[in-house]
Amino acid sequence: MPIGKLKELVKKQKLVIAFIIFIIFWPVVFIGSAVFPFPLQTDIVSKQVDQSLPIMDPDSSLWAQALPNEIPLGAQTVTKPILATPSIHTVTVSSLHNDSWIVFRLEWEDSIKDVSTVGTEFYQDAAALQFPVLDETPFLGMGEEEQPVNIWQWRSDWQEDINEAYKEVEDTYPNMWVDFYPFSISEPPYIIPLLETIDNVAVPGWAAENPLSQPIKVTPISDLIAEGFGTLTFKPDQKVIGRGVWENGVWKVVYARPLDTGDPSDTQFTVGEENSIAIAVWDGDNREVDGRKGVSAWLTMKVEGSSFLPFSINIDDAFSSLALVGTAAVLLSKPTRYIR
Amino acid sequence: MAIEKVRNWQLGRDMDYPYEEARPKKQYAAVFNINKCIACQTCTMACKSTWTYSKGQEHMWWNNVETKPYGGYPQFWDHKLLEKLGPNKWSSGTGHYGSVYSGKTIFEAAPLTEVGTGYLPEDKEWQSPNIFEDTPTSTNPEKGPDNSVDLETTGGGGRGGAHTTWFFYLQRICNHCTHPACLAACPRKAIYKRQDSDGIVLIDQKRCRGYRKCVELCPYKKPMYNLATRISEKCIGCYPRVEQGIEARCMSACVGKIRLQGLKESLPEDAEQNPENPLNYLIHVRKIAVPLYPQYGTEPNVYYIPPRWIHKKFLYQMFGPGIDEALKVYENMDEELLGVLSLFRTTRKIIERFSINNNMAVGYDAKDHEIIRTPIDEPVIVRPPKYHNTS
Repeated sequence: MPIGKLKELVKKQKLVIAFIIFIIFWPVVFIGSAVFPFPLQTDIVSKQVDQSLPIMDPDSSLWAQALPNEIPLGAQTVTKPILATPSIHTVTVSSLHNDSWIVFRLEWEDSIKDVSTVGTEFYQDAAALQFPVLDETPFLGMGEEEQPVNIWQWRSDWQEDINEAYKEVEDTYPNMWVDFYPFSISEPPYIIPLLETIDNVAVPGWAAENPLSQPIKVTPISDLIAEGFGTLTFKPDQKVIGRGVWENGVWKVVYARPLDTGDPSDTQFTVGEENSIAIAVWDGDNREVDGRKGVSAWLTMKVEGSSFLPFSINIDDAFSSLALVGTAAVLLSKPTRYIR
Repeated sequence: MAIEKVRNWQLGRDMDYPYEEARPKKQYAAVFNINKCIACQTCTMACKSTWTYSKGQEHMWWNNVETKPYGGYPQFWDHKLLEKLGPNKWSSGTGHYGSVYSGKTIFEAAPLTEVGTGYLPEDKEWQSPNIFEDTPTSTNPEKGPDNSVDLETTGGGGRGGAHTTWFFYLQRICNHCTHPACLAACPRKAIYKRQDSDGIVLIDQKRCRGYRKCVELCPYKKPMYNLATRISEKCIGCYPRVEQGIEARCMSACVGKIRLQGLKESLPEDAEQNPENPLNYLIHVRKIAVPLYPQYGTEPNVYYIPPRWIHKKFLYQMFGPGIDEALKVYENMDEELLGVLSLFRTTRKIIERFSINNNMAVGYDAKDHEIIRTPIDEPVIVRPPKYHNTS
């Protein structure tokens, strides 16, 4: 077709062309998330600060510099057991970093503080962050085989052990009486009578080196790895620290870790780059434990670097705007008769 | 989680289970003769003093003996699940006991959100293991307690019948089920059944995270939560002893000689090929011992010789349709059967094979070495009167 004729056609068919521009760009927005190697939306921005981070203080004034975002939580419905109605519906996430460490703060409302697991029907409150270990973002449910996720789980019962002392059966049942524990007396670490040696042989979980049964807690946060449902495992090196505080019906929990640990089995954070993140919260008195929890979708987070822009660009919005602007530009250009 | 069809010979049909059928080479099993138990609790203490004497295990009794119908550890464990499952329905068929279970198992009755149906007992329900000890009930409440025998509701016929006022002792350990509910329930896959050896079901103490799903779903309530380690534990079938060919502590300590434990074939047709194994013989060949609450669907592996004096309806609910045959065989004993029953508690070693000849019952171990020889009818010698004054 000669160029002259094409120009004439363009002039005559502006509405059609505007429509074509529109339908070309809109799918780009939708397909973009699958095609582009970077996420299209940033849900959580880890703001950079130039001072020591509040690694143990959820009430520090420094948190005022963060950009909190309220994240909706829903039920986990992929694998049994399922709790269709978890009681925590939203969690507010904030994050800060200072080029060497990153901190996250989760805040959620929970009117009952459940901190004891010393009873068959007692469950703890808890909250966890999940990150992909490799570049690709795997299945939300605890990752996939060979596509691990790194999970940082804070537990209220561990926090209570650290705040006060290791909770024992006497703490739940002060009037209990036992004649004699032949291989464990005093408080942990237990002493074997007569031999006067310390041993955990009569405390099976502890003897099996299960960190859950270890009475002396260093951090309330477990640093875990998983490659699918049922594979959650403690990492040999625990690198996450933090603290949770319950006040006036609100839990505030801080998680802290160096941005880069040098360990390929950890999620690493690079200034200026994005990661995926997912969040889960458990309510103990609703017997929420394992997959019975409130869980978010995969979200995107950016470890914000020093920037001359006072805002970050949202790629998703940029494409939408481009489509609309393009359409509008065509329509608003020289008026044309559309119908003859 | 996919639902598989697995064979449950106790039900006479296939049933739903979250994992593929995986029967062990040999299955840890036991026969308990309820008729002989005196509830001395020696088994209970043998277990307690071996495995559960530490902090956090105060409420744990991996072995317990409770008085039926009211007793239970944890309290009303069986009543609560029976209520959830509804009536025990069996129809005539070609199952091992001549019947097919037409009701729902705990897996088939599962709500959409769970692997099975169950409940989590509270701490207080574990606190009185021998509650309602020796408390009888009456099958004729209007008449009140009495000593009469109801010949019309006789247990097996022949000798006596069902008592109208009754109780009996039920000895309980983990059933090391063929299709364990605890294993199916664990979201962490921290529970395993030893497929290559003895079928003992264990909780991996390193992987358990204390979710208590096993406590909730085990119909027999034998996984228990340790309050000190904050993870769950269960009866381990005394596997360190079993590996050495020695019976579990609760078995070998039994004063009333009601228990025999060993390794049997998992399926009836295989068991029938090896009838010289005392457990295969009692459970599969003679069918004298029946499983506890087979309708739950886990294919439990502790088998009971049912008590003769109990109303059949109650036994039927508790042990399924095998009770008729079991009672009939028990009340019409022959020398061979008596011989096998004579081997109960004569040795603490696991008897892999028995032989009966010349009024002697003989037991052999896994290497086919003779480990016990005992007379079936012990000779009775009456001291003549002229020796009464001698010592």
